[in-house]
Amino acid sequence: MIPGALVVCPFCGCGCVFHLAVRDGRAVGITPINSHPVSRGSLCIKGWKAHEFINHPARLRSPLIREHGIVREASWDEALDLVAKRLCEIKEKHGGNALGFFSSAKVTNEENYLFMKMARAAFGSNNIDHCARL
Amino acid sequence: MAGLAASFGSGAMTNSIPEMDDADAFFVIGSNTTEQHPLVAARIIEAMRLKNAKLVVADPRRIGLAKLADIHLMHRVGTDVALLNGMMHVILEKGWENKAFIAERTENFDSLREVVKRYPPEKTAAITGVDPGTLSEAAELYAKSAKTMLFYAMGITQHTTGTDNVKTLANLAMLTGHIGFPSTGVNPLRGQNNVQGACDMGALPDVFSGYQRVSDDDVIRKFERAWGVGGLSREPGLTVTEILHEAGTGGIKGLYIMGENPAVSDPEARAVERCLRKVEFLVVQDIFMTETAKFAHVILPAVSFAEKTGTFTNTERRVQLSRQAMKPLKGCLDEWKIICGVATRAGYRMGYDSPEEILREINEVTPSYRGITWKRLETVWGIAWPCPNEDHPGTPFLHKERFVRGLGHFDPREYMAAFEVPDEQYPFLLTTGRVGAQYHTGTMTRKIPLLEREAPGAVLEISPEDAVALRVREGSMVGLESRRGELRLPVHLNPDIPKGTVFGTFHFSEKNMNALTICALDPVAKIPEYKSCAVSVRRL
Amino acid sequence: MKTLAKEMLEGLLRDISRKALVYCPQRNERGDLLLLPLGEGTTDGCIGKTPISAKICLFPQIEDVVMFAGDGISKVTDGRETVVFGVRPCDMRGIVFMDRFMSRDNLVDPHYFARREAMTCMVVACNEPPSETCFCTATGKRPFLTATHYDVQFFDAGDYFIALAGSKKGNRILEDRHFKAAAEKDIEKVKRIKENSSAAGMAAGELEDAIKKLAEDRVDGLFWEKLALRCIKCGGCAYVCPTCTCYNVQDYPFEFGYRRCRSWDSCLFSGFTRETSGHNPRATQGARLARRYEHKLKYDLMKYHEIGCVGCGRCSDVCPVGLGAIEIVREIALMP
Repeated sequence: MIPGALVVCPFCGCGCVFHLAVRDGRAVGITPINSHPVSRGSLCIKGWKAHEFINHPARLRSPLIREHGIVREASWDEALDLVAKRLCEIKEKHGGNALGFFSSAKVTNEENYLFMKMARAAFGSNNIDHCARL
Repeated sequence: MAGLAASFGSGAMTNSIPEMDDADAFFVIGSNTTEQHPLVAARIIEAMRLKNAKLVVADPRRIGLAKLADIHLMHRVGTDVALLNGMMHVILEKGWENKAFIAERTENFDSLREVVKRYPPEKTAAITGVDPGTLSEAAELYAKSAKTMLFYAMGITQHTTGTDNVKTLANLAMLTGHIGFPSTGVNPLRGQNNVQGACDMGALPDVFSGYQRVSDDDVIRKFERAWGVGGLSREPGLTVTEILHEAGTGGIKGLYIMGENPAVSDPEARAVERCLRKVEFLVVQDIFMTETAKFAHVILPAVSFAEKTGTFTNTERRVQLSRQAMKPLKGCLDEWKIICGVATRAGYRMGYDSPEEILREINEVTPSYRGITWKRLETVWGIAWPCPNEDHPGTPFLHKERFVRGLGHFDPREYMAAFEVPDEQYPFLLTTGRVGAQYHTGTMTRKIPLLEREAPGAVLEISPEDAVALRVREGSMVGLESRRGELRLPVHLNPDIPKGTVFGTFHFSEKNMNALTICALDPVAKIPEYKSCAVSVRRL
Repeated sequence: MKTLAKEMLEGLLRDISRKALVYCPQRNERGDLLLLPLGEGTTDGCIGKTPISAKICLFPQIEDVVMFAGDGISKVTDGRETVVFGVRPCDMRGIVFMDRFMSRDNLVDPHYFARREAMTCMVVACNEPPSETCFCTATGKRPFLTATHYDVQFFDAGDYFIALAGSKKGNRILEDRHFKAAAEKDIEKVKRIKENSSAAGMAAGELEDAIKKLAEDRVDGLFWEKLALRCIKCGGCAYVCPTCTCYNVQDYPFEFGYRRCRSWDSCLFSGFTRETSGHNPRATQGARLARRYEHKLKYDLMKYHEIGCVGCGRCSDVCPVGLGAIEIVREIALMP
């Protein structure tokens, strides 16, 4: 892939778009976009620095499982198997209403839609919400 | 949002940001726009500079925009309904209402007149602290400008009377006819880059995507067919705060949290922690080890905005494509791939190849998004919903010629005091918010050194007058206490805060104001009253 | 002197890119002109003013400067051969300004100069100002370079460029197969272009007047405080300025130790001058805004005998609230 792209700012709801530059696999810079109807070539203090947290060393890089109070790294297969198994067990035993799902105002529409579909179609729960109220 | 939906039939920002260039006046209430939505604030400032637009700000604090405003209504925290009813009283008394608009486009006007009658300027002044002269000037400016745009944010909604506040704003806009035209409207500014999209996509307990109700049999049948399942629940589910509460009492046994941090963002933080500990199985999917993830049984590393492709819907309902700028960091997985993995393993097959394919399904099942296709988004700067087909240009402003619900509905509300008001034991009013350099619970911005330097930690902002009475100076440590928790933190003297009110943020988990805030909910929208609770401040 | 047919430009840049990293203004899918590594956009009509100047090739938004691992400390410099095409004359003046700053008092910034020595600047003079906010003429300069600070300077002669080398590096570039020998008439053409070009996004009298008032301390704090009420504190004016050099230093852990990075900073942030005690010598946004313009239009003039503004107008382009140099100079000029 060609590095760098036009991306929607990850912070507030204004919906500014900027160009995110990438070199050697690291996000290295932001350029405002003149033709964008909201940002019009400007950004705020947060938008200008949005590249700085992407490669932060504190990023989670492996699925983690807590067992007996101890957190250990796990493979994706193991983690996803465990999530599906435990949620299914709770659903079998107590019904879908014993499950809750917090979706996110930070992820894409596609991901929100799928999460909502999973809660309702796969786990039979309408207990899905996100922080719009907060 | 519930308030706007009841009044107009649609709970979203009615107009668009570019329209701001042509507005004659702005009314900003309950939004510290320069800090939270800087580029919307910049539009207001530019319209004032270049086109001589006027500005009325209503805010208990002398916020940045208030210093530029033609009129600043410094009303007491939580008295919005009284203030707005008072404005409408003046408008009706002076005959500044838009009679033709009221007659043609609205219903239930008489009951508004009845209620508003009870808010003469003197009574309004007694409740709000705003003097009758200033109130009248603001009412005149709002009503008599040709095109006025009204903006609000969480300062309006985060109250037990949040829905009442919103309905009252809708009443004001309808009374003056400042809705349904370009450069007018009632415009809630959404706080996160896809909070509108998450609502649109049905990440809500009572609706599917496009606000199609789960209680509607036709809707259920439609989604059962589209998704190839049977037995979708017709019972609306629980909201965030209710789910957490149920988790505490054992009703919710499994909780899956994607990209949210309720341990910091929710009121009564200590109670939230207790609930999170109690959940039998907690999954957290995030990009950082958040305070919430520390309680999780499984943590799934997702990707940041830079590593994914997909659409986001901004505050003005503009659906935009965001491109992948770099490969996912090693070990991380796209959210949609994680969800497909979990659902498929749980026996419900999800086999998508790309976000484009998911959007195609959204187009099929969501009438308001039907025309917002991937292909179109590749060539335009977003399309505002509703967009019923591929030839439709999108809808930058709503309620043109008729309201989505037909006639605009006046639902007059009476002023009610906040759930918890200052008393002898807790004499100060604590209100919370954000600062410009930080964002939400700080999981992203606190990783950016320059932002952390600009806003390096929690402070309690108090008025210099209160500081004298408490015998504290800039930087003195104080003990802040409410019925729900306590904090020790330094004070910052801010002359822009009224006496008796203190202000803090929820960006800093180590000194989180939500340890003190109250989980009193708006009865309709279930939004907690972050903007107002009673506290005591003690010199240490 | 050589000429280059415009359709040969891409070929030239491709030739160069075999040996060096090539940056040039390119259009993205929406037609915005951005300064990008060759191949990240399209080169159609790729001449003009990009939102960020060529300084970004020497002083990137974020860069590693030191690595600490175990007992070892190593300085990080980047000396990759880099060629930048499409540098504006004002940007080039900005780079010359930065060269002086980055080596002042015999303190040579190794990170900056590692890049600088490995960089070749291909300047394109402006027949027409690339945007209406260009005002280099008001600063007493013209939209082309007379001193040979450039490696190559291109003049736009319609279907082709006329190219002049200003350095050995530039001479080597002109040896590329895509160039042709220039004709007698091209000398005349360059002369005419020079005579006719100007960029007057600001009246020269306004700038002179503002500089004079600042020098005489006639612009008071109240003036700045009033203007600063508009400032949204984004930092954009400093980031896009070709002569701004401020950075913040920060350490991040990595698997073997720590890396120290520097990243762009701005004098309009309150944390920029705040001291550990909490005291801030520039306590208000007005004081910070004043300092920024006094620095550019007063102190630099005293120190270097030239103002710290090259007249590119980018601060006016990027500022969403009209606090760029053009607007501020006008406000000062309007003062009694």
